[in-house]
Amino acid sequence: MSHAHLEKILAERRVVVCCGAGGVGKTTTSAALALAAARAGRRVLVLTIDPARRLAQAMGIPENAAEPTALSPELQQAAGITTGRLDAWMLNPRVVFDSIVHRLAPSKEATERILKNRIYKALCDQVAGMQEYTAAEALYEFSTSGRYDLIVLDTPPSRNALDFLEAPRKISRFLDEKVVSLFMPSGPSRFSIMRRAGALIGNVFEKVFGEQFFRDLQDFIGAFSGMFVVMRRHSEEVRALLSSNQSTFLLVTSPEHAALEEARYFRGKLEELQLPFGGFVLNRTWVRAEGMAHPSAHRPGPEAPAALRDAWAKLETLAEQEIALGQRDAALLADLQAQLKLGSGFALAAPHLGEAVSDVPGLSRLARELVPGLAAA
Amino acid sequence: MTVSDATVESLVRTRQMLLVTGKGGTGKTLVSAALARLGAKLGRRVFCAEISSDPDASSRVAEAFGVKLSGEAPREVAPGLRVGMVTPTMGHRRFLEDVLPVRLLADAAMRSGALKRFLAAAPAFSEMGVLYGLQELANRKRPDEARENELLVVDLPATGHALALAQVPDALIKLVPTGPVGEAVKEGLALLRDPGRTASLVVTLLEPLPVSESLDLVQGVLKHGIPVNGVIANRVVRQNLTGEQLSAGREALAGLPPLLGGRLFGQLERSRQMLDRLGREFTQPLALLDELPDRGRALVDAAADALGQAPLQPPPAHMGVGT
Repeated sequence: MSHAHLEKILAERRVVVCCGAGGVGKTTTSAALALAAARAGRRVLVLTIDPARRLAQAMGIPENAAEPTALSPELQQAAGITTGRLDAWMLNPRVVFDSIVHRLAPSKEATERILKNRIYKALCDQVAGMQEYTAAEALYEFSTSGRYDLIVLDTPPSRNALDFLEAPRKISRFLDEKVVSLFMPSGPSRFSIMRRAGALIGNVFEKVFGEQFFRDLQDFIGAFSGMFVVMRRHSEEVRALLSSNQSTFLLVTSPEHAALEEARYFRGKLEELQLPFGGFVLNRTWVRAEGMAHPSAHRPGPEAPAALRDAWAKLETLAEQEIALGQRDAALLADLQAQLKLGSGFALAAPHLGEAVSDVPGLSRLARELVPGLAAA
Repeated sequence: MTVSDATVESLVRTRQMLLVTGKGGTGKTLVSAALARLGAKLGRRVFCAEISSDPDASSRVAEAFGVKLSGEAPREVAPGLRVGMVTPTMGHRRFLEDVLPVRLLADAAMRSGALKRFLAAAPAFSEMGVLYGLQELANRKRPDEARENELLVVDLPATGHALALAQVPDALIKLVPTGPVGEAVKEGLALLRDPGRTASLVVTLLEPLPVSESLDLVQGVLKHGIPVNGVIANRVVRQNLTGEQLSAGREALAGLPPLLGGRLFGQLERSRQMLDRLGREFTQPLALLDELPDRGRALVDAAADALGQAPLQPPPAHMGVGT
């Protein structure tokens, strides 16, 4: 039933956002779900704003690409993608910013002025925090481009994950016209109180940052000011898209106590921000063991080499441990299911695949476990 | 590296600031809490700082000690050990108080909100606020001129954000070379780069992805001139199997349908391979922290004791440990 729920989400929604603590398999889960949707015939983009390099490595795509890269034809074939397609991209703030400037700057001169501004250049080279600022704009661009039916968004680990939703709002709060006018070189404000405030701010900024920076900043804000309105509108539209029934947030967790706590934290955060919760994915569990024999059934005889007999004794202990872990995880899954409000969301467990998922066949395997209806061989 | 850095304990005993980072889910927070606890047991006044952009979020370091804590006020969780959050806003406020000569000006600037909002919205400046906050905690003096926090343990964010934080000072100095911001950042950088005052440790698990990421992290941190003093492999399961036994088991398993216990057996093998890989690819010394059965505060105490005895040695020294 849970599988069907997730399958329906992947078949119908336009945006799926995966959140969770670090190390729970969020990136691989995002990629596996994207792969399953592409198998089902949709045109899918998996977009990661995690500065780590996992996704690119797993999918064999270049790491610093300027735009989404399609999975190679061989890999698409290996993944069973025929009518659909699967692209992946690690968010590149510089590319997104440049594209904003080229699209929105009022004139060629304005474009040049911005691209040459010291602050602009420094911002683009900066990894810190820039992902969050450009994620909303990238989501806007891809969701309105008509190129994709579904975008799967892999968020940064842990509590920073939802910053990308708040970042445009933070920027727009700072950049409301009143504040911007304080920084405008000539102060276009009609009110003398605003001019006085502008002078004060200038004074403080010069003291704190030095004259040079303040001039650069004025220049930057002056050049960018016409574009703020559009950027803000985009981020509001993205926010509306993410709040609508066209989007779903999935909370990915592992059986670790801290990861489960984090999932609970996100559940509250989603409610607070009024974002649609889809369900819990409990990764790397030991729940499913049906069909697996106990090693005692294959115990080597006394004639076997000592090394093998010792290894087997250890294996039998490990089998008992796996059984205990399976019971623990079944209880955790039941606990997550109990947290669901009536009729809303799902909780499903993906099995520990024995080794780290690090390539397309591994992603296909995980996809089969999560959404067998879409990804069955 | 000097001879005195051959144990985790010597770092805890001698440094002013210990930075702890690693891939998400590797147990950075537990290791930070344990190092802080160890420092306090050694008689130092310790502050364990956690970085958060959200002042209302609850502290995970405090959680490790079984204490609920949110907000900016630090709290003593054990004798000589306080836990607190460092937020960008906190750092900004301190910074403005310190640099604006005219109190009235600072008040007016904060009231108008523009400066506060600028600092909150401009990306690199939020990291600058964190850096300033950490610096302030590291340097804060008591009335008797002794440092209030003799040891500052910092639970840094996971890889990407930790690297970003490491990169910020250089970027800011380029952008704002003069004035109080430039000065503050230079001072912060000097603290981060002083191997006599600062040490950093990268936490990993003996699994392929965390080990790969740790390698990136070590290089990224070193690139910015911040010393990396070692890697802590967390949740190590000591295996009482020889290499011969492992390969005999693997061969037999390969010829059979999946068996219960097979996946954990594979994990044991992988952690052995990862230990080999750490030996080949890392030049940093390594300490091992066993998987511990305890929970909550008892877990922090057990980890502190284990780390207190852990040698910090080049990886080859660990080859064959318990195998």
